[in-house]
Formats: sequence, C-alpha cells, structure tokens
Amino acid sequence: MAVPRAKELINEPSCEHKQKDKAACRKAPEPGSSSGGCAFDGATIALVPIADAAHLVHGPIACWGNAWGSRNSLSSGPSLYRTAFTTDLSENDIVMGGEEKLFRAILEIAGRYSPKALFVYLTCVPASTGEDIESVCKKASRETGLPVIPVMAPGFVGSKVLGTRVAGDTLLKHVIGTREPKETTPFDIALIGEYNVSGELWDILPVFTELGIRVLSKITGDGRFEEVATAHRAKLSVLICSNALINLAGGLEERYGIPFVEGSFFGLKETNGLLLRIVERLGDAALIEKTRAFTQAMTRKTLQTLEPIRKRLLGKRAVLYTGGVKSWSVISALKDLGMEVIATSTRKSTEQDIAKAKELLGDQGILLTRASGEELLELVRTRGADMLIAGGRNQYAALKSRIPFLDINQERMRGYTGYKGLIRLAKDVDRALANPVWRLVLEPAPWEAAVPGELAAEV
Amino acid sequence: MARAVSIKKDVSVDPLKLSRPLGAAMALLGVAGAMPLLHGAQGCASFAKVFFTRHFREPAPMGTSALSEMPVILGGEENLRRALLKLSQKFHPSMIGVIATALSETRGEDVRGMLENFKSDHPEFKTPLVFANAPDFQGSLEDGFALMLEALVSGLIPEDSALKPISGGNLLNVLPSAGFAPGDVDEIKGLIQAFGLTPIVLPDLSLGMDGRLSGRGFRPVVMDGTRLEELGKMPFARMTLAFGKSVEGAARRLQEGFGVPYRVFDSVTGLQATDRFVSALIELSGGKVPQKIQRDRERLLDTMLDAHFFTGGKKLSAALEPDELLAVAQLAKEAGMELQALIAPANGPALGAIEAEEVTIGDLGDLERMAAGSDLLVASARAARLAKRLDIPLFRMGMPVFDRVGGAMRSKVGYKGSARLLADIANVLLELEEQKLEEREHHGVSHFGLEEVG
Ligand code: SF4
Repeated sequence: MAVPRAKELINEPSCEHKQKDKAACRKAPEPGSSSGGCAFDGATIALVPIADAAHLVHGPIACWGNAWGSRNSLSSGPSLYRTAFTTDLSENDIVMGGEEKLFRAILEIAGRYSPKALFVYLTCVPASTGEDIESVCKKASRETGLPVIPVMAPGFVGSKVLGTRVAGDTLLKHVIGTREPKETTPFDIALIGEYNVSGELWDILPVFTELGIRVLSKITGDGRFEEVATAHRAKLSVLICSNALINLAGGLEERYGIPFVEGSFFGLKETNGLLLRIVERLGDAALIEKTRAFTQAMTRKTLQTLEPIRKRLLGKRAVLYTGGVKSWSVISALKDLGMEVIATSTRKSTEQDIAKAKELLGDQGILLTRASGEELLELVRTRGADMLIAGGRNQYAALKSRIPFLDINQERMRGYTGYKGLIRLAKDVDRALANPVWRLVLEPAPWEAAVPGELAAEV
Repeated sequence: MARAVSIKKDVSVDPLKLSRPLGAAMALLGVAGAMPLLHGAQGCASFAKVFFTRHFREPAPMGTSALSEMPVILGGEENLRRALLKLSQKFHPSMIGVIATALSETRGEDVRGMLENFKSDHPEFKTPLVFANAPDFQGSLEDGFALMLEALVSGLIPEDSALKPISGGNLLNVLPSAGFAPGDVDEIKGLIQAFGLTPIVLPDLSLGMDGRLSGRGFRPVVMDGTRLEELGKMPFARMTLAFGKSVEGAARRLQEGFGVPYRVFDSVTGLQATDRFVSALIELSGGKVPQKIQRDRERLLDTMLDAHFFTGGKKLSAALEPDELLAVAQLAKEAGMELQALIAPANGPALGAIEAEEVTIGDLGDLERMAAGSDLLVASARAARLAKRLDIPLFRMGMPVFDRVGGAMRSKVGYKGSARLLADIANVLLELEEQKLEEREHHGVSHFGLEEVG
C-alpha cells in the first residue's frame, strides 16, 4: 500500500454534499503557529468513545504518548476505551517493518483484555513507509475472530475534521450493518456526533425515554460496539452538532434508506426544534402531539428556573469562538439566557452554518474566520464584551488579560446541552462573571496606588 | 544500585513515555521570547501545545511546519522555510528552536543542512536558530529536554565570548533537568542567591511558566525566561551546576567550549542531597551559611521526625522520568520507606544511581501490575484511574498533572521543598492510618488470630 491519499480517504459524494466544505476538507494546513490537530486526532475523538472496544495506535510514541487520557467522554459501563494502547515504534521497528509488531500487539490485546472489537489507528510514520495495516487487521481478525478495524487517518492527510470524516467512513465500511439488534421499535434512532463529553448525553437520553423514542445506536458517546453496528436498523439518524460526520448520516441514507435530521441541543429553541424535527420525521401523529406538549412544558419550566439568573445575565455581551454547528447554536443558547453575542467564528462551518450565525448575530455582529488569541482579546476589548467563550486553547490568553472565560469545547468539565445543560450553562456563565476576582485583579497593588486606574485603563 | 530491566513488548499499555520532541519544546518554554518549531505534521505540535497549556495552566506557544501529504512525499524543506519566515515575521521571537520529529527522521531529512541553506538564502533573517535532533523513536521527555539544552548551549553562546572564566567571580551556571518545575527552579535560585552568588539559569521555567500576569496582556511567544544576553555571560561563570544526571551533556559542552568546570547533582531532594548541594555552595562562596537556611534544615529534620511514624516501613511504588525517580527514591529511603515497584519510561543515567535492586523500563500498565500491595503511588495524573483500581493513594508528580491547580508553586527541592514534599506524603499516609482506625471501630473486637496484623 502506498501512502494513503487524502482523496482516497474522503468519502467523495458526501464531501460534495456541501460545496464549500469540500475545499475545507482538502486544504493543506499552513506552516506557522500551531492552529489545530491532525486527522489522527480527529479520528480518535470520534471513535475512542466506543467503550467496550480496544483502541490501538500504531506509531511512535509522539502520537498517543503525548495525547492519551485527556478527553472527558464518559461511559456508563465498560472502561476499556480508556486504556491507551500503542505499538510505540522504535527506529528498529520502522526498519524491520512494524507490521509484524502490530500483528502481535493485536493478538496480545485480544488475549489479555477481551475487547468486543479493536480499532487500529494508522499514524504518519508507518503511513509514510507504506505499511499495509489493512492486511494486518484482516489477518488478525481471522486469527482472533474479533472485528479488527483499520482507521486510515494518519495526521499528515489533513485536519481534525478530515479525521472525523475518516472515522465516519470507517464505521460505514467496517462496522455498521455487521450486527442485528435483538428487537426493533418504530421509534428507533441513531444519534451521531454526540461524544458524551462530561456526560452531556445523559442529559438528553431521559428526554428521549420520556417521549418513547429509543436510541438504538449511540455514535459514539457512551457507545458499545455491537450497538453501533446495528445503526442500519434505525428509522432515523440524528446528526448532532457535526458537519464532519455528515458523510456517515449521508451514507446511512444512501445504503439503507435511513433519512437524517441535523441539529443541536444547545439552547431551548434548538433543542425544541430538533426534537420536533425528529418526531415529524418519525411521522407518528400521537408522538408529535406528545412532543409538542412536552417541549412547551419543558420550555416553561426551564425559563422559570432560569429567571433569577437571566436577570443578572441580561444584556451581557460575549465573544464566541468555537466552530461548525456550535458557532451558531451556542449563540442561540446564550440568547436564551438574555445575552448578546457580538462575534462568532466560522471555522469548520458550512454555508448553512454561516447563514444561521448571521441571522442570530444581527447586523452588528462580526463573523470571524480564523483568529488568534490576541485578536480575540483585542475584539473583546474594543467591543466592550464581558467575556470570551471558546476552547481550552484560548483560555489562558483570556485569563492573562483578565477577561472572564468559559470553555465550550471538548475539554469542558460540565455538559451544556439539553434543558438541564442550559441551566448549567447559565449557572457557569453567571459564576464566571460574578466572581470577585475580576474586580480584584484590576485593582492596583498597594504600591501602585499612586497611579490609580492606570492598569484598568490598559485592560 | 539499581539494574534497569526492560521488558520487550509489542504493545505499550497506558504509556508512561512522553516524546522527546515534547521534552525539547519544554526546554524552550524557559527561554524568554522563544518559539519552539516542531518539524513534522500539524498534530504533533497541536498535542504538545495542548499538553503544556493544560499542565502548566499557562499559554504555550508552538510552531509547526505542518507537513501534509505532498511535503511528506516530496520533502519538507519548503514547509520548514515557510514556517520560519512566518513565525519570525508575525511574532518576532527572540529565537526559534527547531525540533525534528519521527516523520522527518523517517524520511531521512537533513534538517541541519536545510537550516544552513535557509540561512544562506536569507541573509536578512536575523532570528537566532537552534536545532535539536530528538526524534520520538527512543528516550523520553527528559532526553529531549537535555538535547535541546545542549543545542542551546552550543548554538546560542557567541563563540567570541570564549574568554577565560573570571576566577573568583560569583556567577554560577545552573542547568536544571526536565523534572524541575517552576517552583523547584525558584528554590534553587533562592539558595544560591542566599550565599551571595548569582545564578544564570538555563532554561528558567520559573519566570515564564509560573503564573505571569503582566499588564501587557498576552504575546504568543514564551513570555519570560532566560534572556539571550545572559547566555553570553555563561562562559564567565565560575562553575556550572547541573541538576539531574540527564543534563550533564550540556554542562560538559560548557566545559569543553569555554573551560567552565562543572559539577552534577543527581538530586537536591531530601536531606543528604541538599546537604551536598549546600556544602558546594559553602565551598564556592567561602561564606557562612545564612541563618534562614540553617533554620530550614532544622525544620526539615523536624518534619522527618514528625513524619517517620507514618512513613517508616511503608511501601512506595513510583513511575517517573529517571531523574525524578531518583529524587523520590532518595527521599523515600531517608524517610524509612521501602521501594516496591520503580518504573521509568526509558533508560537514563540516573537509574543506575538509585538504591534499589531494579528499575523497570516500562509503562503504567507495568506499574499497575507490579504496585499491588504498595501503600503509596507516586506518578502523574495519568495514574489516577489505576490507583483507584488498586485502591492505593496517588501522590501526583511528573507530567502531566492536568487535574490540580497551583503546581507552579510546589517545590520538592532544597531543605524547604523537601520538608514540604515529605509532609505532603506523610499526610497521605496519615490519612490512611486514620481510615484503618475507622475500619477497626467499625469491626469492633477481633479474634485472637495473628494473621491479620498489617
Ligand atoms: S501529525 Fe502524525 S505523527 Fe504527529 S501526532 Fe498526528 S499522526 Fe502522530
């Protein structure tokens, strides 16, 4: 096998699904300041949450050694996915060819840990020397009787988004359709793109249970291999906050005729809207009626609970820097809290995302493409925003400049989706803004008191 | 003295090892205005940036040559050049430290040659460049850190400063190894200064990665650290003090290049190790030991007395980089603890000096296998889950520790740091004793059999 080529790794039809997006998933990264993860990173984000599988990274220590164990995808049962496996290739392994080592590694894991399946992640070095891990996986699968699945997303083929896309293709090609569910119901859905970060999924699942909708496959938060493998029996797939996995939703439609809806569980409007779209597609009049009543009741209750916090948050202004669907759906959530978003980013966003963001921002709003931490802070200052809401990468840029911050990306410790999540978001924003540290950190030290206000003027 | 035993394996389970490029980049986080540049695909730099940002809770600059498909096939020179130009134009770093990764090494790239070509093609490019060849294939964090330190010493000290060291001057070069957190560097500097000597620390993580909060906001290069001007003074120092065996190479270079003699301190954790360091300072300063330091030693001794009830006879297992492992092992020995499982991610010169039968070169999977029955684990936050599974308390040390704040202020060196560390460890063990009492209370009167005495 030669070096895998990006175009071979991308599911072409689904990439065409969104024209703008196609260019984005091909664009070579720019040398310079580090601005995002590699394809391998994206593939692990999407697949490692499958909790009863073993995840083996084939490469030198750099890839997994520096990265493992830093995500908050939770499992309600098995924890094998949290054990980090890597072949930790040495120079000698590369010279001799790492395939044999990989094969033995798979057998060892299969023997010692009884995984339900093994995912084997290709990384840059073995990809560049042309190792054929697909054949190794086939052979190992025959030997162990387990599904051994190659994930062909070495870092150099592209960005994190591309890697997530490869992960989606991998599930379509090797996993989905290989198992049958014990039983089916008319209201079986597959959830795609929800990774159960900080247990977010667990705020959503009870809502489905309440409505009588069964989540047949969780892809992949708190997921199980067998359950993911039965996704082809879903009546509907629901793509949550993910442009990258549209190829998976599209593939399920193409192959198995499963329609899909897209949406987000950030904020009342989006949550209600998505729930209604789901039941409308499922097409049961009673269910639709029930969902209408449910969303109305939940909206009332949520707003009631939020009331005291909303008073404090009313009119507070935020700069939002995230990506994809979240670039607009989080605006919607913040508006539910009475806040105003003065800028958002269009990274990893589709035309549709951008249009929605524009609509939610209003005329005064600013659309950012890529912005450095510095540029974001500049924006916060010049536009008089109260806080920055972004990913962990920008957290310290904000704190160092004495600007309140909230983590909205995958390293966040608390879930913000669904009705409960919105209340949690409100509380966290409120706590972030109300903390006395913002006043204290701007006050001059005793020895600076002679020049009052100088520091405050600077910040 | 310990034998390093490495287990040949096909799969590493919960790796302890961190990559050498990560270590090399970390050394640059102690150089003011520096920008690390990882020559490889974009993921390596991204993981490094996230790793340091979360561990130090400080912004960490990181550059990448962002090799993608075509450069991987055709060679990465063009990307490296573009990265250098972009970083220097956009951020004006004081220097750029180029670090080769496994990918460029596998391609057999001559990165040093590329940098030479670049410099001759761009005479206008004034940003000093340093190159460390530390691909991921062997060693661990500590080695990468040490290699970058050697590169800094060889590459950034102007050659014309090769004058004779001024004898009797009070300058001392200080080279801390990767295990020296910002608080540790601070402690060492304080001790040296207390004797009226002036340390030049390379790299100085205590200046930039310790919680800087300047009014100026935020610049995407290393905020503060060793200034390049100070490097020019290193040849004039009376002596180089290397802290940790792993950084001896850099000290040797200062001796070979500029005739500065050096001394290596395996560790400055624990009473005897600190005594050796302080004796050297007495010798070098010819002065008296300051009152405060005498008091600190007394306090350490007193802490040892107070703690020995809880540490004596207890079994400790640890998984750390070699230099840190040695430091912890020495402290534990002084406290009367037994060493059960000692795991290092890779071989290092410090391992041979550890007073134990053997050290396993392995991963956290080995720790889990070998540490059962210990009273205490010392390892990074990545051991938290296995510690729970084994039901043994974990004392966090090494990297990464993503789940604690205030790490930059902690210190494990000198009389003061050692006393603090020992007290912290003793408190964990003390809590365990209290738990046992509670359990006893719960069970009430026991039978007369002798087998259950723990
Ligand atoms: S860019 Fe390649 S070598 Fe670097 S972490 Fe990603 S897969 Fe590994």
